[in-house]
Amino acid sequence: MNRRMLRTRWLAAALLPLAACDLDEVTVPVGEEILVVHGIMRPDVPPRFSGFQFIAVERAFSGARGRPGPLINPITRDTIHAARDTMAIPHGGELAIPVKGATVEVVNLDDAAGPCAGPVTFTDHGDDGVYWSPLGCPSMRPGDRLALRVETLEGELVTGQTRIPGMDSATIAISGVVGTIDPAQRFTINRDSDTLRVVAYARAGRLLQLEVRRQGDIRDFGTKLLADTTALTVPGDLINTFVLGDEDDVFRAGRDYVVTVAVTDTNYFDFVRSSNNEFTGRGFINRLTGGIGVFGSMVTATTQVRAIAEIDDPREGRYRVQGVLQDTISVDVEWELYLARPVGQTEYSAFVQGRWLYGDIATSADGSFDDDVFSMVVTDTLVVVRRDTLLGTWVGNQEWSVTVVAACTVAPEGLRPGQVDPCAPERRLLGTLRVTRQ
Amino acid sequence: MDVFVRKFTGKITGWLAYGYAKTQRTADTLTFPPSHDRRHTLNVVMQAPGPLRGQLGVRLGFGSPLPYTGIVGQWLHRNYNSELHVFDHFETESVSREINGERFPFYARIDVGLRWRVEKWGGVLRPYVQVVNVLNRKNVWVYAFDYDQVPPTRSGLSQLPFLPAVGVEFEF
Repeated sequence: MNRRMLRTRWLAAALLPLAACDLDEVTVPVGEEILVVHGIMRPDVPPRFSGFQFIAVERAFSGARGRPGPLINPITRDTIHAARDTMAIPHGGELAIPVKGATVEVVNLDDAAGPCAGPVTFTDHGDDGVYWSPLGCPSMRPGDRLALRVETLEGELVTGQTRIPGMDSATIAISGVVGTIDPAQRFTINRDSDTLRVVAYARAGRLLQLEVRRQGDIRDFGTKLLADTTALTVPGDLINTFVLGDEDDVFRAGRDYVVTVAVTDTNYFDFVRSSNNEFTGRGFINRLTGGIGVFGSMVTATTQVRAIAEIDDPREGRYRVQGVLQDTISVDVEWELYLARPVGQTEYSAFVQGRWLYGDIATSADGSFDDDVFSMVVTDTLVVVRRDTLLGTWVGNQEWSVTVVAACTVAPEGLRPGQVDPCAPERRLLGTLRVTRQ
Repeated sequence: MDVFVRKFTGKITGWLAYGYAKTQRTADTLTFPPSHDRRHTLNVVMQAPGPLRGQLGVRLGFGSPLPYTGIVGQWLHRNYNSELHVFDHFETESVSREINGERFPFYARIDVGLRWRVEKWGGVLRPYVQVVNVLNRKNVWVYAFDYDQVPPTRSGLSQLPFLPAVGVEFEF
């Protein structure tokens, strides 16, 4: 269920007593399969794409044909992403109705003499409706105008234009510590007392976007904060309002985050700030001609932020966990545990660092307290997708123990008929570890 | 244009009100009828002696169709992950025709009520029975379309259904 739809339905539910009567479902004529185009041009395209841009071309649902199953892009399939996320484009995702064989061209209107001069043709390498640029093209300098032209085999035409933003640098300031936003840097925010301020030294930009996502969890919807200025300050205890019914924080103590500062063009700004209402169909600011979607551009700067908090509960703090698992594997890790803020405080997150079952780890784990009954799931997404489960009873400052249940691999396609759930609670016991307060 | 006729005398009293209106909005270069553009509105209210020495009240409401924006499809409004340069989530949204280019069915409702007046306990008791939307007509409040399946369908919510109520007022 998407979130805007959820909001609309909450509103409808609130008004339901005034109406409280469903209309009969009736069949309506088939609608229109209009073209949907998604393309964000990135002069600073992340290294994993090695200088390639992409544009996804699909059709809207009209009721003429059903939704296809999830598609996996055979060219860029990434084992971890394919296992963890079946929604992403282009790693492997679901296009409504992919458009194959279209002519997709992007031309830099302000660079007639460069190596990428003239229309740059994006090509599809599969049946997934994702079209890829040649290496390093089109050229993109701050202020350049890029024009998109998509023509299908049926003769439909979609056009759009974006102006490339630029950013000389960006800085971050947390509790008096100021630094350049850099992927190799890691800052620490105390969510109870600190604020986070980012400043972008931008050129040709329309929007500043601050995107906060939990590190290593690409399923995380994250938080996007938008401002039509070049600086943004957020408190450490900011609530993630995108999570309905399960209120969460932007920064939860015990977790590492990736903070991305982006300067974007007008098209992207309109794309993220507007949406069509479920009932009226209106609201989305469409900057494409002949179709719907976005042809925009952005430049980004990324850094890491570790979230901590005040220690104000006896269950919070540092623990050392030691012992032997599977008779031979020596384990020695340290937890830095923080309860989550929402009422009840049964959930927590913890930094986990040390020698674990399969080697050294430095990650963040989640768990919960049911009174004093403790559970934790250590999920490692960097080496292999595992879910090691720890169970025990918390006894304060005395030594206590946790049992460790075997990890399970999360299958990308889910369970096959008749297959035993590898993540079932009764899976194999690996051993018991000692837990001591530090 | 409005017409209002009222009858004060006789056993049967009441009034009739009719309104004719036409509304248009212009935003930028676009001209369209707003959501409240109702051409004809008719209300008839009648009071007459009822059973058991009560008073019968009847109200008839009619409204010509209101405009709404037709939906012709659904698209996936995707969420861009700027860290990884992927579209990783989406929200399903409607694709619409021209603004308020279509009309709901006409609106009609009949309400009936019975009231009595009894002097009791040093005050006045007024028990009543009333029924809203006697004919249980499903006047459309909102449509919801689903183009994600074959064939596409339309459902929705109606306004007040058949709604009986019983009560008593005490004035002292």
